[in-house]
Amino acid sequence: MEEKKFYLTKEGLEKIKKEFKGLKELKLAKTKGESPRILQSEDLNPEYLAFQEDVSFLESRITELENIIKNAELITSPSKSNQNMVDLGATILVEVDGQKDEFTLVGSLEANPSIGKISNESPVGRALLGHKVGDQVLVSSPIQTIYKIKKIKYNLS
Amino acid sequence: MKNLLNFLIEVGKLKKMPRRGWVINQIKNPESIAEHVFRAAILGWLLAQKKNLKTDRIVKIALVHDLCEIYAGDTTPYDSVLPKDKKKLRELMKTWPRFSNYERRIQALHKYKKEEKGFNKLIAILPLDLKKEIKNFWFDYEHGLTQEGRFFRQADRMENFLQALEYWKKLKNPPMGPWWLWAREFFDDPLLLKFINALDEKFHHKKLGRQEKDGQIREILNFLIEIGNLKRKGRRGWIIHKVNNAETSAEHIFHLAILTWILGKKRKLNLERAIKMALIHDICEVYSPDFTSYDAVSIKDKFTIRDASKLKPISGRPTTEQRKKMEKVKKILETRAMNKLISNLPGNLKRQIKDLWLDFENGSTKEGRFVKQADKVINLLQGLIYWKKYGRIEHRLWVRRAKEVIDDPVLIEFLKTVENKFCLTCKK
Repeated sequence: MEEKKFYLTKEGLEKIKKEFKGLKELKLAKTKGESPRILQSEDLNPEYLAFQEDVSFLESRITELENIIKNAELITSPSKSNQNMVDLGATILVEVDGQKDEFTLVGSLEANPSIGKISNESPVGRALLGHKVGDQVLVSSPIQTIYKIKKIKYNLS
Repeated sequence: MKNLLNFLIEVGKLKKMPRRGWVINQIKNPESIAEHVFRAAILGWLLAQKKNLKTDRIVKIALVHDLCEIYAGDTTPYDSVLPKDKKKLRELMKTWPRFSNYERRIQALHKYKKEEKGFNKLIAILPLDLKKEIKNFWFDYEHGLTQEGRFFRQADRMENFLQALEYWKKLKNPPMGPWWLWAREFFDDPLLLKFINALDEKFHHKKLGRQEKDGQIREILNFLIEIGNLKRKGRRGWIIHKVNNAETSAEHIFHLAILTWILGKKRKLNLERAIKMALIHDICEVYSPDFTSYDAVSIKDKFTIRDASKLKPISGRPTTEQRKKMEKVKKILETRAMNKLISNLPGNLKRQIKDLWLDFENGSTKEGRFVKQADKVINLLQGLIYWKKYGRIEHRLWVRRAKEVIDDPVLIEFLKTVENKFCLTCKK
């Protein structure tokens, strides 16, 4: 099991806790031979259906979520005086190779570059951390690329 | 059994689907989706082992992750902005496409829905337990439900990146920039970041610092580059039969791995062992020839294997004496080839792969015996598909031979289903 911190947004942590609760109910219901409430719910998540028959998968997912919750570190907005600096949770508008782009810096679990969420542990994520608007951040090797930070904002709930 | 056969035939279509990214980059003779899956599975397995992840899970996730593309098609980040003009297309490939986060979310949702629909259509005919198992692995890949799912999502892209670097090496002005840009934003797994360092060293001769170097990763990379030669390497048997765009060794390995899984499950095999064995059973062909029965007849001396394009398919069968001679030569060449291929791998991986290969060759375990026979079955299936399309294959001889060498009850049942499908038992 991964022994490390999991940086999560409030939304991300709530989603995981909800799934954990639902799966524990599912497991309990299965041991009692009942049909769990989660499967009768109107906003049924079809992903839960995937776990139904595969008990070992269900149990390993529960253990996984338990570990994440235990080691979760909430991403919060920094104080106003520090909101001009890139940190976890920041949405950064950059200019790179003449093109504009926008990333939100999140932890590895929530990273999804295809929808603009990049990991703080990726080379670009790591390079951007701690920088301010106006900074030009070099991400090197083998093609040197400069990310110009145009704007930083925090939209965390 | 009929549904399993139909599923296998559908999955085989990935052998003829080129990876779209290479098509739009105008790469000549690009790899197929099946070939990508073959090497992604092995890359995932070898690197996951270093992280002590469940490698049986990794290889299964690898085998299912792109099945949806049979019906959904393969997609690239450029799809919504592709120009028709080839010159403009080449210019576009030199940049990384940037979209607003809103556009990205729409694209991602559209892609997921299309792929889920394609996936559900494919697995609809499978028995319930297998359907659920395969769907679980696909969900894991799509949603990162386990460490293995999350790791393979990146390992998959790493195989893609490696292939890109191999293609770019052959070009005068390769579109290197966007790929490295993307890689630096996408990957965050510490082991894969080390693998990227190894790629940088290999392809760009970057001098790595002591902290950045990892000899084991370098050797795994070299091994993966070597087995990549099985992509686009047409199987000699089909070349001898003058089949156009013949199935490659990598494609055959992919198809056998899937067959091993779906039929091995019925046989209650140690699937981890069997699937891994299928994945490596022919990798010695990087250095040794892909032997056929026609070589048994034509073999002149110990180390001369004739060019497949110069061989003619024989209508009879080799004698026992000819087969024995070929087996002797085959064993020497293949053992030498396998030893060379794995010689620099880390000790535990080398031992593991060698053990699996020897089991396959000698049939030491029930998994070894099963995969060896399954290899003949999948070959026969491909042969019958070609026979239907092109004619000119002595299919009845092949079926007869299969019935001589196959004794596994599940494979025998499968063979009967194959015969019925291709109407080999129909009255004329």
